[in-house]
Amino acid sequence: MASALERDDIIVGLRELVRELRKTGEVAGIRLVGGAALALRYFDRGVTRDVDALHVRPGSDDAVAAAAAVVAKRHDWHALWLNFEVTRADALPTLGRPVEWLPIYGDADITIEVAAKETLLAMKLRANRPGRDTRDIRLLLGLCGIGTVAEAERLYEEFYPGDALSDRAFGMVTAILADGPVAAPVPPPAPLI
Amino acid sequence: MFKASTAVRAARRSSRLTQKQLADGTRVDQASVSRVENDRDVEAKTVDRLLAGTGHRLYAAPTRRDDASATAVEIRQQLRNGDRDRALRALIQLNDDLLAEDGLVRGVLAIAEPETTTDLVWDAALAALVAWRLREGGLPLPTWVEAEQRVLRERQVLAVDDADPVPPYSEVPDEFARRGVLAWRDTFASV
Repeated sequence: MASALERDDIIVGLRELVRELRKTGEVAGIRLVGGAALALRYFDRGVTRDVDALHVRPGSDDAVAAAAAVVAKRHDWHALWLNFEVTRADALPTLGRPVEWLPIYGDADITIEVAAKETLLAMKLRANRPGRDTRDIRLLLGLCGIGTVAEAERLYEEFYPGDALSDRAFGMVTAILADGPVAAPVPPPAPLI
Repeated sequence: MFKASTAVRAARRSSRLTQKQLADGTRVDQASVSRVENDRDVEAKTVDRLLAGTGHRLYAAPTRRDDASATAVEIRQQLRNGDRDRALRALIQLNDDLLAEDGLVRGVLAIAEPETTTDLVWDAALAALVAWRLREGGLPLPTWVEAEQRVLRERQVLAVDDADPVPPYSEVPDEFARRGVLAWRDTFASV
């Protein structure tokens, strides 16, 4: 079992997931957030074996989990490489600015989407785990064209109304922007699923 | 995936043997030891003979998760590439793997002494993480986890990104604090 997945592994995994779902005639709307979404759509990044997905709509979590388990067995990955834990953690903003989704795969029955960069930045600012989220916040600030702490605060409050950046997140953003705005990273080629 | 190269190299180093000493002790030529450790020869018989020369043997465990030795190799490679972000993700993956297993199987992931990552802070962090998760599971600690060389003389931050804040002591897991490694508890928490 590999200690971590790379972007290409995730692409292969999703491609095979689609194939497995097609075999059983499933309809599935799969939405990804977290590190896998970042690596697929936004910038070069290592990921752990977890691909964070929201509850499947339309379709069923069980059908997608069963297909993911087949893929996992083939590659000697853990059966829960694609999981729905993030939904249980209530990390997705639901009260403020609507979350946008960008398609990375779509046919008549199956779609795979990743959250827009602004949403991912808001979620990372909320988590603000030093070491784990810092580089992501740095690169997302660059991608979102946010050059000041005040702009970062505004974006955060749009997604989480009534909530403010924690002191730690405030300090991290301040440190990141100390030398001025961050250059946007070059996005990787669109994933071929 | 199990790598004989990782197992043999870690076993040799934890037994404080050079490749030549292991070769002499097992009557395997030194070039063969090198080939095994560099993943160019994984013949089971040779691997078993070399492990025997270090006082180790292979067992099968009911898990497909990587152990601390494999993590150390990954961290070392990432640090060599200058990629601290991926080095941390390897450590987080070990954290997740330890938490995903219970009882003796969790302990199995930490039995073999990992070789050095070539960075004292990361060596101490690896021991701290294993100690934290094994104690949490009510498991005994392997000797290497308590080794003196995995305790820093002065407190140091587990540096990943320049913008990372230094944690207050109250936010550092006890096992990290005991080893002088300043890392945030929630860096190892899933959202």
